[in-house]
Order: sequence, then structure tokens, then C-alpha cells
Amino acid sequence: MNRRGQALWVNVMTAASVDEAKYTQRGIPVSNGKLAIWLFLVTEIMFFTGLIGTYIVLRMGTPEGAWPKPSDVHLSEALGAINTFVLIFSSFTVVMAHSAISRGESKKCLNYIAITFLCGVVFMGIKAYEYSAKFSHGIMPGYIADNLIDPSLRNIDTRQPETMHLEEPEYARFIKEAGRHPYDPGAAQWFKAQVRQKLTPVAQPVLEQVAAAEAQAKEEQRLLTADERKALLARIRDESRSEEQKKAFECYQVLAALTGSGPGRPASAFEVGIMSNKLNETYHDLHLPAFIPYGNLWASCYFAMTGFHAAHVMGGLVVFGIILIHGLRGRLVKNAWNVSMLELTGLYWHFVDVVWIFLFPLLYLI
Amino acid sequence: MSEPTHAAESAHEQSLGVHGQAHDHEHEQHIPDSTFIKVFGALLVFTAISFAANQIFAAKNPVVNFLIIGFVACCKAFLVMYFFMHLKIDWRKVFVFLIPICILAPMVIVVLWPDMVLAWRLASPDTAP
Repeated sequence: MNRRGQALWVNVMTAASVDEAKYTQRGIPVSNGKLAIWLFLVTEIMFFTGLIGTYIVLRMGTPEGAWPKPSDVHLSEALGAINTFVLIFSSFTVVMAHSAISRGESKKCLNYIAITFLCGVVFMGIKAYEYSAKFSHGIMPGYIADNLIDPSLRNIDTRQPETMHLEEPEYARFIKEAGRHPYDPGAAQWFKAQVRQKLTPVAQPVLEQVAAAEAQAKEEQRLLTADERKALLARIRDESRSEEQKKAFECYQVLAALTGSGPGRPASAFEVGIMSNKLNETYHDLHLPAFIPYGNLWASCYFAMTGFHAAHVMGGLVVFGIILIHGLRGRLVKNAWNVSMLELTGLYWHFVDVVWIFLFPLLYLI
Repeated sequence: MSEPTHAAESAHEQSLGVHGQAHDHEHEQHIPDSTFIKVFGALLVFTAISFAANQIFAAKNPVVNFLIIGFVACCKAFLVMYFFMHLKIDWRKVFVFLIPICILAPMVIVVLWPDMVLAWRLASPDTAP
């Protein structure tokens, strides 16, 4: 090819390349970093949609009124609201940090980042407190008694004095759905044994007094009559003045109902469950096994959703920690890299906030 | 053959130039701090509304409670995404990712609904296990 031919070929190729580039290489008009973070966030949205969507269908698929209420599972609305405020405030400080660095106000930016980091730490602290409360109450997947309702309760005659109490709302709420729950007699026995084991040492002072009265009657070569037992217990109840004595007496009553040593038939596992829930509400240090229908399902959803969310908060804290060190070394100055880095980190942090905006009402309010 | 390669590179640079301009233009627009402060205030008010609605309606009317709290959560998410995540400026650039997500996310629930929710609700107590 001669020189003239070569020049012509170059011109044709250049024109073709420019023309082609216009249509084939022209992408979305955002920086590579922003494109990458948005692609990442989109996958994250689908990830959390899977978790939240599963929670919604599982919850809506349970019989009405049977899904655990926040108070059943020791969730504090106030703590959830505080955490919501903390995350919203941290979102605000991130956006202000980005605004400050864009204007070249490095000191201000560093302060906002420090506040954001602190907010993240407070959020994780409250979450850790919540988790420890769940663990201490035995609210963990697989550890909750959630199938104590005997299907025979469905057709129970609540006009009888022995079963009249089952008409009360706290019992009726579950009986209405009895029969739709899976019932495991083994689990019911296990639950009763666990409650008995925990109640026995607490009720020991009352047990000893009852045992002494029984021994005295035995010496007289007779059994303690029902009236004598009733009078004895009434005396113990009247003499119970301190918190410890009252607790011991109430625990004894549940124990007597459980073992059948009290008046009437031995209580079923379901009734023991309701009684132990009441004791747990009154005496927070008892930590009796909880009876919560659908409790295991709730706990699985709760720990999966809040656990993954907390992991994302931890991830954000690591990044903010690095930015903080970066700033303390005097490197957080206005330049394209810093401005972009703060904007992209902020996008991630706002996404974490948006997830919490939906988790808070779903778990703590509705 | 070095000239055509050079020409292709210059064409590529030209195309990058288009991106560069777009990138610069991206930073020209910004949301003022006063707007962020107002949005923050609105988010706090919305949080208080959902908390108060729960105290008032949770026991009396759970459906109203659900509607108020759901609406408030959507408003809060919108405010954070529109202002804090700069969608006010970037929506035209990233809507290609977000529109499919807005369709796919509800689909996750919709496809599970018949088996997980309706099947239980439609079953009579006699046919239940």
C-alpha cells in the first residue's frame, strides 16, 4: 500500500471507530465507582427482599392472632425506636460529611464521620443488649416450646369449673387454633420437666413447710386432708410479705398444678406454658422456658434478618473506621477520590438505613 | 500498522471524554444542606408517627395500624433514597437497575403467596391437620 492509500485507510478506520464507539462504548453516564456500588446495592436489595419477603409470607400464613407479639418475645418497641433514630441520624451525618468534603471543609467532614461511626457503635451496642436478652430468655431457634397445644383442646367443654379458665383471652387465643398446630407429646413432657426442674429450688421454702405438715399428719397416722392443705397454703400466702416469699409461693402453686399435688387434675403442658409465661413476666430473673406458638419460626426470621443487617452495619463501621484513620492522618482533603469515596460509602450506609426502616415496623410494631 | 491502532485509541479516548464530561456534570448538581436538615426532621416526625400510631391503633384496629405504619415506612424509604442517596439527581442514570428491582422484589412475595398464605386461609378447620 502506498502512502496515499495508507492515509486513506487510516481516515476510514478512524471515522468508523469513532462512529462505532459512539454507540457501542457509550454506557450509563455515571462514574465507574457509582455504577459498581449501584450494581452491588441492587443485589443487596434482592438479598434482603428474600429475607423480608419470606418473613411476610410465613407470618401471613399463620392462623390469625397466633404469630408472636413483640411483648411475647421480649422485644422493646422503645429500643427499636431509639435504634431507628440512631441510624437515621447517622445517615444524616454521612450526607453532611459528603457535603462538607465537597466544599473542602475537611475538619467538619471528619467530625461528621466520627459521629457516624459513634452512631454505628451505639446501634450495635443496643442490638447486642437485645440479643443477650433473647439468649437469657431462651428465645433462640429450636429452643422454644411452640407445639404444646393438644388437639383435644379444640372441643373442650369450658363450662366445667376445671376448664372454665380456658375461656380467658390469654388461653382462648391459642385454643381457638388448637388442632392446626403440630402437637408433640415428647416436647410437652420435656417442657414440663424443664419447668419443674427450674421451679423446684425457688419454691423450696414452701415445699418444706408443706412436707413438714405432711410428716406431722403421718406421725398421727393419717393423711393431710384437702381442707388442711388449703388452710396451710392460705396461711403461707398471708405470711408471704417479702418479694422472695411471694415468688416462692407463686412458683409452688405452678409446681403443684404441674405435678397434680394441688387441687384438681394435673395441668396440661399448654396450661403450664401459660402459667410459666405469667411467672416470667412477673419475675424476670426466673428465666423459665418460654411457651410461644410459632416462636421458633419467629426466632429464625428475627435472627436471620437482624443478624444480616447487623453484619452490614459492622461492614460499614469497618469502612468508616478506615476513613476516620485516613482523616486523622490529615488525608481527608478535597479531591476527586475522597469526594467519590465518601459518596459511595454514604450510598451503602443509606441502604443499610433503608433496610432498617422496613425491619423496625415489621418486627417491633406490626 | 501502528497508525490505525493509534486512531482506535484516540477514538476510545474520545468516547471516554464523553464519560468524563458526564462525570463532571454529575458533580455540578448538588442538594443544599438545608434540604438535608429538612429531610432529617421529616424522618424523625415520620418515626414518631409510626410509634404513636402503634400505641393508639395496635389493639383497637390492626388494619389501620398496618396501613399507617406501612405508608410511613414507604415515605421514609423514599425520602432517604430520593435525597440522601441522590436519586433526585441520579435517577435518570440508575433507573435501569432500579425499575427491574421494583418489579422483582414484590414478585418474590407474590409467587410464594398462594402456597404459603392462601392455602392455609382457604383450608377449613376440618381439613386442617
